[in-house]
Amino acid sequence: MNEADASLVARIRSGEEDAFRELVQRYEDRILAVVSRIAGRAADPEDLAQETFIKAFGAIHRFEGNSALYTWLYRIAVNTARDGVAARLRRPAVSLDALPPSSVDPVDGSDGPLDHLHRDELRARVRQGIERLPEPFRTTLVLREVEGHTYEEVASILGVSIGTVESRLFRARGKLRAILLDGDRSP
Amino acid sequence: MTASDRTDAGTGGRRPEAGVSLRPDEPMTDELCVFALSLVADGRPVPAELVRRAEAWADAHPACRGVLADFAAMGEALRDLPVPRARPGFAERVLAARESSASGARVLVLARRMAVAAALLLAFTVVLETTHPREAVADPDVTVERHAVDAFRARPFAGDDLDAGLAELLPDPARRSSGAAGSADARPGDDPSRLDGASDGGDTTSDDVVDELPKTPGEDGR
Repeated sequence: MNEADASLVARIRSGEEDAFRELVQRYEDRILAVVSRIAGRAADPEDLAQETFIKAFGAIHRFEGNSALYTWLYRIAVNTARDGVAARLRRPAVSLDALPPSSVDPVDGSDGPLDHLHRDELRARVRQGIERLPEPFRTTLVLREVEGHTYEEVASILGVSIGTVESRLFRARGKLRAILLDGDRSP
Repeated sequence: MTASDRTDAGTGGRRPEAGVSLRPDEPMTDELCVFALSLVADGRPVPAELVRRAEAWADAHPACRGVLADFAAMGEALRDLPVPRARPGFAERVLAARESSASGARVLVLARRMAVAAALLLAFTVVLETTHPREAVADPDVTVERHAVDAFRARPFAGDDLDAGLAELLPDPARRSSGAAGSADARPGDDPSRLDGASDGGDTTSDDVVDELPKTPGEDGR
């Protein structure tokens, strides 16, 4: 944890009102982004972000500083978003069985089958496709590809090993590709 | 495999931690080829020999390159997704919610403490009553409602003492005194005079006694 974060944490613990406001303002966009990507349309991102900060405030005395403050916040945000989705849906976004089975099977030609899609169309499909990804693949892909975290950071946020992140990310990409190709074949 | 056998490109010079354990001599497949090369694209450490074999495999199987191209296109699309921004005043909203949450938590704590106090009081009462049971004494209003058969028992849960009971009920003073003397359970509240003259002076049977029983207030209409 850097000095700025350590100082901020100390001020929050001492009950300084402005310190908590500073924490929220410093991380609100990043937290909002990650919860909105993970929860999709299943829950209001601002509600989830707000819940994240309130949980963080309640648990700040337990934060030991072994990881970066934003990593700790991300961990809370990811769990909050997952809980929000679970509470809303009470079922997985999509059954594993419902996914197209072969996700990394190559097809003929060296160009990717998605290459023919226009950039905006691909972006729109990816946006929809990611909501169909089941957990934990969606969270892993969001943290790595959308949020740009390193594998080590993703592992720390999710509390899993690096190998698990590598494996999940590979499978997440394969599943997302399968979803996109499946949509491409659909009328 | 040693650390120097691994590639570490794309990590800004920081050597990444080891992930999935991949052997250099692992049998090559399309899936392994794509997995290994996607790790390389992300700057993950992969055994150099495995990378060389995966590259050779991909050169011979262009479809693997297609999958990798799709992965790259998806990654680019994901990074291009619009970033949501918090609306102005979001921090104030969070602070207000925290205040509300804190007051709710205080009420919850108070309610919890009250519940604990009630539980402790109940437990204390149960223990006290169990370890120091009080004698069961009927309410005076209830004891007034006596029946003749009550004479056969000194206390509600005592055994029947027929001699004492009959002596108590019979009009013969001699027998009554002997019965009473034989029993320490004579009841001071009973009024034997109510049976005086009720007997014909002959042998008294238990049926006679029952006939002579004093009426309870409810039975005689009083």
